[in-house]
Amino acid sequence: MLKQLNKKTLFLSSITFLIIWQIASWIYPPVIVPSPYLVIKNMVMYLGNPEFYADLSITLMRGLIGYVISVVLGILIAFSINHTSLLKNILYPYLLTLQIIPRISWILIAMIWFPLNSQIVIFIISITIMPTIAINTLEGLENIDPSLLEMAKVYKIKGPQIIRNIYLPSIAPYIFSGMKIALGITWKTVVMAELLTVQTGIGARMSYAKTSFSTDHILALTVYIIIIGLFFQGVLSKVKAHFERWKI
Amino acid sequence: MKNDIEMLHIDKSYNGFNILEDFNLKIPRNKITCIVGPSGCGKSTILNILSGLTHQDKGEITYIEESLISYAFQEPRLLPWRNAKDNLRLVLKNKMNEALIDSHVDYWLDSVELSDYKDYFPNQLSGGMMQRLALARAFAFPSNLLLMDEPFKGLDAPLRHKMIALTRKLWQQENKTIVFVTHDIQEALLLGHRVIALGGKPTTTLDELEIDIPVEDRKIGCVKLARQQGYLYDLIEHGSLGVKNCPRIQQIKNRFYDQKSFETLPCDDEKHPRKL
Ligand SMILES: Nc1ncnc2c1ncn2[C@@H]1O[C@H](COP(=O)(O)OP(=O)(O)O)[C@@H](O)[C@H]1O
Ligand SMILES: [Mg+2]
Repeated sequence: MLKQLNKKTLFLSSITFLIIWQIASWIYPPVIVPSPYLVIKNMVMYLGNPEFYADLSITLMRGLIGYVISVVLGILIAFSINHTSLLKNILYPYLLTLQIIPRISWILIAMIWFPLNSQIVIFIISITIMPTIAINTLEGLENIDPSLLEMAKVYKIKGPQIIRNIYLPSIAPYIFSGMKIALGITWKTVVMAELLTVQTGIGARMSYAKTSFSTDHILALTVYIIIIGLFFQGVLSKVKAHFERWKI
Repeated sequence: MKNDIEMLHIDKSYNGFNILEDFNLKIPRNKITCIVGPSGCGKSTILNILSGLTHQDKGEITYIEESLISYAFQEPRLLPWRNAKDNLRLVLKNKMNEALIDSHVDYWLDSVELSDYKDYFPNQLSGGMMQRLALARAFAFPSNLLLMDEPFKGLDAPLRHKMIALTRKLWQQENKTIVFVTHDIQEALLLGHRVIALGGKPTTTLDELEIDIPVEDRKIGCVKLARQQGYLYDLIEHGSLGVKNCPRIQQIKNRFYDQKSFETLPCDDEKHPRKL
């Protein structure tokens, strides 16, 4: 989070945004720019729809499973290749390359490799964000102050203590910043993958809305994704703050 | 722990540049050995080799494995995310009775005059305070070999004298073997049982002095210490070429050792007035 967002400025800019949106919706037909009122109405309507809850929870589940898998995997991969410079030299370029491969390529390949169900979505999320986590963790590991490790060696500090007192506090900022970037990517990716590959979830719902040109529905669903994204960023900030207190 | 530690025929080079070549150093047990020499001559390298952090290219060190080492590095090397107390606690964990750690930590923080800063993090302390905290860590650790690398550098004079006195007290109480590296000759003469002057390229021992005045009786400015200080100063100033190649060094040595009469002068100038 940036240091301090000014609440008043934020409020004023939101109001201005809504006013501009409203004016635009008067100028253009609803298919192009639906009014904010229509979008909010749709959002409220979704709340009364049990099928929406099913889609929402399946999207959440896919996103979170994919996210957790890739965070754990990314950290493990970073730790295990950090040990030997040979492994690092071989695998690091691949991690960088993985980061560049367009998500859409993965989606197309995954559609050939996997049956069209949750697996495919989770795979796409993992393959997209795991490299980010691994690269950030590696960077953290590389930035551990070797003079502190020497100090630990001389004073015969035990392995678990070294991990807890030197490794974790050193790499945590890098991992958290990777996790934050990855979390943003997760929700974008999950919706995109659902839209293109499966029949369930918020993404699939958007796909239906698109075929019937229901721009108001697309925007209502988008706002839900934004809310989900902000909520989990908040959770992550809490976890981070908790960790910082704990390490102190 | 009776056998002296000895560095024998040590070679060490960095990037093809010989820092130490056939270097020998004897470190008597339970004594304070001071090493003085110009900056860059390899003093820190010697301590790093003794502590096992750096490996010599050649040569061996006797009886070093019997030692439990604490090391006051040239830089504080504190954990930035732990407060003063926890920085000390960390090295004591599993090394002494858990119940005693807190009082031990308090004692040493008090000794280096940091008891009001227990809960401060390193970035809230001044450079000198961080140095003292690192010193407290080295003192508190139950070692029998204590390595100190220019530990009082940058402290103001009164504080420096307090720290010298503290080191003496520690030695008197616990009889640790201490290797004390400094570029300050006066500091070395106030603390060391033996003072070793290094110089030359690659680094050799220019001379070793046994200081036979009991550490607690040493005062700045007493004639004998002043003479030794002048001698060491000359040695190091002219020592950059090493002993063998420099006739000047031999002259300096001869002049110092020929005037034997000074050797017998005790440190008490009032009872034994200067005769020059
Ligand atoms: N890790 C290192 N890599 C390369 N050169 C080094 C390293 N450590 C020390 N040196 C070199 O060895 C010499 C002695 O260094 P050092 O032991 O730190 O000297 P001192 O402590 O007496 O000032 C210096 O010339 C320094 O540049
Ligand atoms: Mg040094």
